[in-house]
Amino acid sequence: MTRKVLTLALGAILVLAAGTPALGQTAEWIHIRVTEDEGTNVNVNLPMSLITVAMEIAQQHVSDEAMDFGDDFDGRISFGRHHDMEVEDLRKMWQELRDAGDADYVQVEDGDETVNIYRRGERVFIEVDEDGDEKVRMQVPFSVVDVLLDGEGNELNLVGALNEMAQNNDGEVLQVNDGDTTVRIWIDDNPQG
Amino acid sequence: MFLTKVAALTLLPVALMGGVVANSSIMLVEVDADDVHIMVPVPLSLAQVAVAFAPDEAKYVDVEEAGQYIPYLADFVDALRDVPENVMLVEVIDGDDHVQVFLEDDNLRVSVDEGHDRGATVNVRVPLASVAAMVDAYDADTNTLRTSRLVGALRAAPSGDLVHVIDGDEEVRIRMW
Repeated sequence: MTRKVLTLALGAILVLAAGTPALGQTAEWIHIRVTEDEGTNVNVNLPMSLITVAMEIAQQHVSDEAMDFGDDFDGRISFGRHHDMEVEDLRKMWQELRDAGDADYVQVEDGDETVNIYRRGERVFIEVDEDGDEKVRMQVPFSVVDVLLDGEGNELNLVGALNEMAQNNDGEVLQVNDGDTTVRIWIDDNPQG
Repeated sequence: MFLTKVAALTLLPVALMGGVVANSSIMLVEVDADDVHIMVPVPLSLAQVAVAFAPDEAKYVDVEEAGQYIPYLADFVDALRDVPENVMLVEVIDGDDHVQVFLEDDNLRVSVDEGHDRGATVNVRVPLASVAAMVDAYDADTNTLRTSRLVGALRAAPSGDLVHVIDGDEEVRIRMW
């Protein structure tokens, strides 16, 4: 579960970092809080501009052909042709889901672990439960996915999506409760969170 | 006793050079461990002059792959300089251990305190002015750092401790005069 938490946290940071340039004055800081029952507390408050620089460095060294940030990275990611799902296909699928109204998209039950992805109203909910007390909760406003997929071809508009999330999701990005550990990631304009 | 003599002999030329380096920085490196005390003063202005007469191999430091990251340091410095004073960038509390990273007076400060009795403490101060000056020392054409400008970057550091480590009976301190 810890690996999941770290993966989710890292993923969220990367996505946030990609979205940095467009966040402007409404969301200049990313905050990460990790609290463990054993007494460990981690507080991170970083200006988005700093993460942007880190991302610029990272993008120069991304050798994974599946995710080519390119030299003129502006927050849109192009997927390689060999990916199983082209963004264009994702876009079409999303349009169909969008028209379908409230629905359960994914339900997985595997022993003590359940994964649910469903739509209620204008939000997509992602819920992962494991062993009863380990929980991952994410909710993504529809408008965020709309903006994410408003690019062309194999582009994802991460900048716009994050900007949308910052404005329409109360800045909340991720909350994970792993029994002994809670992780919260959010963005706002307060240096101290 | 021997070490005391060595330290005195080391300091003598520095004292004699006082007139020369009065307006320049001296980097003082001190190591205390058990019965060993080492103090090495490095007059940076003289070091800068000495580099000018050094062979080319000493004038330029090949930074190899690290060179590609150096230009980004300027952006890091710019981003950090926009951070309000005393905002805690990173804080980790793990039992007795306490790690803090924050900005103070145009310095990036890193503090590590093991907390428990005789636990280690580490305090590092990275002057942003020195980091910015180091970027200027980089020559992208040759992928090298000019040693004289590196020394200049150190001279950009304001006086005070740069590194101070206390671990049990051992203490290491690097400070600018």
